[in-house]
Amino acid sequence: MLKLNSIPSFLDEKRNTIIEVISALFTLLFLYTAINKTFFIESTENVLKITPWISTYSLQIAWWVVIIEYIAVGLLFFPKLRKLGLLLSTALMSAFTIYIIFMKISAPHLPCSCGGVISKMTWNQHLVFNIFFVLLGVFSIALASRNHTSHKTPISEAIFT
Amino acid sequence: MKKYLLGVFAIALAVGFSAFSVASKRAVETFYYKGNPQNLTAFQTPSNWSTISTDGTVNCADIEVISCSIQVEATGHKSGNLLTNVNITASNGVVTAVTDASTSANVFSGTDLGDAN
Repeated sequence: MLKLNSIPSFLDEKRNTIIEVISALFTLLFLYTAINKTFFIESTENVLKITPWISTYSLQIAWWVVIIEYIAVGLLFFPKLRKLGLLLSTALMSAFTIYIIFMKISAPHLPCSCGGVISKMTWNQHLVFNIFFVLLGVFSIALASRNHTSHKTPISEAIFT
Repeated sequence: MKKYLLGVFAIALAVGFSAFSVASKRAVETFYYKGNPQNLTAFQTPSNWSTISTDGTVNCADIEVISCSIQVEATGHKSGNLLTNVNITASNGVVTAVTDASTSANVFSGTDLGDAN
């Protein structure tokens, strides 16, 4: 389990702001991709069709991905649900990353309808992009899970110093 | 209210970017191969690709590892039912790139590999 006691104090002070910024980044990313996929679902379906094992359910999977992205955006918007949203976002990003790695290993010679909505990226660029967001998500979850009790000044110290 | 400020800003940005990209994105159509599957030159000839799935001699269900159909941005690349004004790159029966003949811009959205899966 990641121990955050050694993290510089400014990170701890800015914890909420950092979580808000990361949540906003995920919101921007998922809402942008979800809206694009909603209007051009067949492009997503076509990419999934060339993927072994899931090609039969390409349309259903494409729509479920869109729905989950909208749900993640909704959760990220409300502060009380933000941690759940970060968990869902990180899980989703991890799934996308595993999918890209799987495609690179199992189908290196298939034509590349690359990047989905981030359509200018190559598979490798998309992989780096995804890994960055997975790490960002893990970091934000660790921050959001941090227990503040160890950081509080004992009452006796507060009164007599 | 401050708690929601960044979130609202992110949503506004996402909607703005999406509106721009959706408006500029062109309609994609599916073109089916109707030429000789053994002839790589014919495979790379745009006029051998048609939007009508039954218009040809190739039965994709019987063939493995061939691009039976490709998805291409149709605006400016369709004459009647046939693909036009593009350069097709293929390798071993699989289409790997379709670009605009004039601008070399990528107009390729994906391909169906018939019975390969």
